[in-house]
Amino acid sequence: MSNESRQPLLELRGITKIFGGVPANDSIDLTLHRGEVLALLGENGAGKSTLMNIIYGIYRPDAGHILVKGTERKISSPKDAMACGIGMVHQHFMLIGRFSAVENICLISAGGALSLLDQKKVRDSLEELKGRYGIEVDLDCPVEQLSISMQQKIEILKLLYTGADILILDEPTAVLLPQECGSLFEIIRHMTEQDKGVIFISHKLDEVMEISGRIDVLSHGRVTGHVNTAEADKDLIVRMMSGDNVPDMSGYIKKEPRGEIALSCGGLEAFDDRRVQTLNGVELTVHRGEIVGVAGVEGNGQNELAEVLAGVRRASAGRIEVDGREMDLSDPAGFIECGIGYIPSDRNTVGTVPDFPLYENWLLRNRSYPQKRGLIDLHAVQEQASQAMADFDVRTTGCLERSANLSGGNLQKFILARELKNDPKVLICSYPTRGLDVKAAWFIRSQLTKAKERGTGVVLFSGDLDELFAISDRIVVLYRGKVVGQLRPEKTTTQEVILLMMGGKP
Amino acid sequence: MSGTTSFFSSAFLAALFSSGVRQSIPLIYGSVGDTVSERAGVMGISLEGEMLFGAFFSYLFALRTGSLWTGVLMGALSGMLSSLIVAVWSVLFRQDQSIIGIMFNILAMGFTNFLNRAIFGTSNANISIETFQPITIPGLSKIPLIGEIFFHQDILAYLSVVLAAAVFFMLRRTKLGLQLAAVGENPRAAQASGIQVYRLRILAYMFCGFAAGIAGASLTLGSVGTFTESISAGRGFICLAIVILSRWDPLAAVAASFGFGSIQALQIRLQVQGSALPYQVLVALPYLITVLVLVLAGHNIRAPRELGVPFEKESR
Amino acid sequence: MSVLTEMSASFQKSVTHYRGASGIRKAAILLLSVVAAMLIGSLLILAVGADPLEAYYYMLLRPLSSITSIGEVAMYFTPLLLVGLGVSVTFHAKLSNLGGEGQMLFGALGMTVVGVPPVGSFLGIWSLPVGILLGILMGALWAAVAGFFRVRFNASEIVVTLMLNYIAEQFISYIVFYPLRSGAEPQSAKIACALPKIYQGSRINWGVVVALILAAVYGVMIRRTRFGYHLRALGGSERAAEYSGVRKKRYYFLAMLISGAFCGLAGAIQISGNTMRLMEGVAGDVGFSGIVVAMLGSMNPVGVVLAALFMALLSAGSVTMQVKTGIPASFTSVLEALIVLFILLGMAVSAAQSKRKKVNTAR
Repeated sequence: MSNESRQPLLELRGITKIFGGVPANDSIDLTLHRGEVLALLGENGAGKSTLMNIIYGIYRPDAGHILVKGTERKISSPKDAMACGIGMVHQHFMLIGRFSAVENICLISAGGALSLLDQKKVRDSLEELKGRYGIEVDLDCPVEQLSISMQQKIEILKLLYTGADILILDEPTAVLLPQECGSLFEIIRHMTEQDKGVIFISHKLDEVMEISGRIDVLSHGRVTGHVNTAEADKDLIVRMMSGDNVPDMSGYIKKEPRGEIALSCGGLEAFDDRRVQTLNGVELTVHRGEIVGVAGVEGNGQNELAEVLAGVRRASAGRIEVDGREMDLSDPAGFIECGIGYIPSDRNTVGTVPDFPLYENWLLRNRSYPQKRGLIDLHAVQEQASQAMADFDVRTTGCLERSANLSGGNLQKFILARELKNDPKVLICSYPTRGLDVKAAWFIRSQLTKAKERGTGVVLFSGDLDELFAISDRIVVLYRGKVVGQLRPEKTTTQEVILLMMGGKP
Repeated sequence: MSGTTSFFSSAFLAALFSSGVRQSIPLIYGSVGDTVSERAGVMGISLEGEMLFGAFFSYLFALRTGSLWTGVLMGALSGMLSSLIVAVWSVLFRQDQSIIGIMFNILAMGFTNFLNRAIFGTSNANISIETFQPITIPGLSKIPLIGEIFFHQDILAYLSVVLAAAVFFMLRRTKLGLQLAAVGENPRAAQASGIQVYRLRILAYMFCGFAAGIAGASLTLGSVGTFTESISAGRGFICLAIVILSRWDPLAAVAASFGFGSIQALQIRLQVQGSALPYQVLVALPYLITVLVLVLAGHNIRAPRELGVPFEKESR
Repeated sequence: MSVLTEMSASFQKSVTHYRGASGIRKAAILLLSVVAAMLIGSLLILAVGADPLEAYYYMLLRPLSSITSIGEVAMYFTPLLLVGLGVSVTFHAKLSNLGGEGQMLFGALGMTVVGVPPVGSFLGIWSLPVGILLGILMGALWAAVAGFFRVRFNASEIVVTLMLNYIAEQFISYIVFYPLRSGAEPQSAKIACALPKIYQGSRINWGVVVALILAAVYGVMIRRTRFGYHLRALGGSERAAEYSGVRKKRYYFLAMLISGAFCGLAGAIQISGNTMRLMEGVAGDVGFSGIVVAMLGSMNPVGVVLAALFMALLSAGSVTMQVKTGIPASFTSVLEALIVLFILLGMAVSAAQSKRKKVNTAR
């Protein structure tokens, strides 16, 4: 009851931010009290990140006010935000890898540039904070040698050290293994007990239900709902999140896999960029005319598997067969020549070269471009690209436009058009609809199903279970670099898949 | 003096290494300056050019005012101001540091030669000026060999070590040192913790220019006594090498500078005396060592992560 | 011959493909940079009490006034063009070959060892093609050292090529002081066979034609072959190139190798078409000026040719200018550097503009 009498910690009134004529935030109101966890729920592109960047002083709002503890504040830099007691754990950690936790935190300690470092004092107060909030972490090891979840804890320590009482956690669980989430939630509970206010950003409903006290739902830059978690109705929230314009795919009929095997692999092992082994013996078979959906919590080897199957990353062990012929794993060009299309998750710098005009990007991962006496026939390439762009409804000024100037949806359609041009035997799709608006996303999905009907074997990596259930003929679940389950979408439930994703047994 | 017997005599060694110390002074200033700017992520490829600016203007002002210290000051300032070009182009405009550096060197060489000819005419007989005189440190200079080598040097030599020690302390013990390293390692994170990345990088680079200016001054006012075209003669690049060899540590840079300075001193002697070993081997040695170290130490040498990479502020 | 016509046709096509809004903008930046640099240069000229117009006349027009002086321009033009092309190859892959100087020296050495007696007298007229090929090979190998270190040990090619310049310089100095020394001066003997002249009244020789043909080959390679395409993709986005099946280490190495081959050829032609003997400083800073050429020509084949011509005029004219007006010849270095700095400035401004455009159109 005492909460009622106290000033809210943070109040946003009518925050609006417009990017190029499109409102990313449209008069958003939000209130955060002491001792509570406010969940901010929304799809990618709903405007959560923009809003948080405004609170943290990275963007400036075009309209609206920010009140901290009852007084209006102008926040024009992260420094201002910190001075107001606002702290943020970004999705990409803001740590200096070579520094220890203590050194990282010395960086934000008080004192001018020429003041002497007092590492002992900083370390003493960190030890105290560790005890108070139940945080277990090594303070002296260079942080780059620590696990992601440890680094996250150092980020949290950093905020607590500055005395921040408004803590913004931007999708903190996206990088964690399921078993690591528990200790994070424990820390969050300690924080609210100490009267701090936490904004918890997520698009995972279950977590939000577990940790938050109230939920604000963001959709297309607006707040579309407020609920107290205790009274929350899952279906209602889902509707608030997605809006009403979800096309009905229920009429879409799935058939048993038919035809011969397009791709099969066994015993695949691979390392990620940090040289951590993330694939531990993957077995997978893809038939012609089949969409195989790959589900899994992010970071369980999806990226590496997609890259290995596309030939872009070299597997350290195992074999891949396409059409019954074993591939040379050390020859990325061989995969392309064998007809393996690939839609990478990063369309801006992997799927295209940002500075190239579109017609030049048409040649990327393309071995059957128009030639004339062994040389690239640029005119024919332009014609071909323009035609395909028209077919796939890529909206832009023409094929001379730089790829970097295309919106996400148009760029993805362009890449899809290119990869489907020669009817690939297998198409690897890594999060193809991530960050796209609903319409573009369904366009991509319908093209994938068309490709499948033409006989392509599609491997669809996705974080969106609805998408996987809607168009996959088969769902495989990846957990810690292994396939832990194969299910038919019409014979299973979301709950069962989620359970497998978390490492449980059905 | 003839042959091998004199080669190891203590008089020869004292003369050799004493000259080695003198040769190392510009290298120390240059490499200490570059250590600071590389820690912050900006490569000092233009060190060579800043040295030329420093050398020319220190000579010009010392000659015109009759004061060596005015010369040093103006040399340092000219190094610093000219380095502002590199700093602005590479930090604010985010252009390729290697190209800017090379262009700046061409600019500096052309400009100093231009001024030299315009002011002093085409005859190469520039007027010599009195250089800094050696200062004998009482007591310490009496130590056999060591005293002669290290404690009978000019003021710029002593100051170079003081500067290196000060920078060492700054990097290790002050918040500024931590901030510089943060900016060179992960500017995005540095920005998030409230550091003004651009400002710090530009300041770091200006310090580098300042030190390179003194390095240039030490060439004209410390040893030669006049300005000759391209007087820096590749020392800026040796400084880059020293910074890598010393792994971005200013005190180690002093030691490495002394090593390379001694090689240079030896090479000059060989060239004068004539020997079976072609002197070119010794001239090339610092560069050869650098390449070998880069290759052999490979992954053990860890440069600042974002060295040479432009940073784009994310702010709208 | 049909190969040549096909090549020139495709070359023309690749040029027409280069236009479009961004091409015009780029050309404008380049032109403005030259103008701005020359304006600042005028201030310098005025400061020493000379007439800027007169100075620029001696630098840019006078060298074209007689067939003899055109021949002198060609002496500068050929190596500048070749090094400019070589540097451009690496720039496409976002590599920096700052070692043109050293690679030229090794190219010059390759030409010299087969050109001077005893090998030269044995080979006779054959010493010319053999020498040129050896020069190309040695330039390529010297660059390949840096390429190999970059690919295998991840050693910065910027630092390594710079260091290799000095090592090459000392090596050549040693060569002309000792093994290949001929006479009192530290220089080699005269080579047996020079590049044939195009026109007897001038020093202009067939090296110019070779360089121009190579510019066309370069243009076709960069724009019309998969190798060139992937090289540029690698420069635009490493991961996109890998996505397209490129093994990046191989490409980086090849880019350095080809770049070094161009520079080596420049060195070989410098000997066989110009100095006739090896001596210290035979590369004459062309290795660095070649970077200006590549930048000013913005790696475009026609652009690089024009940029090399411009730079050659400056170099050839600067000596006359110094004699006639009293402006030190080193003025040209200032001009060169200013031009590139302005180009870089223009590129930064243009990038900021197109980014703003993106923010306005996207989202």
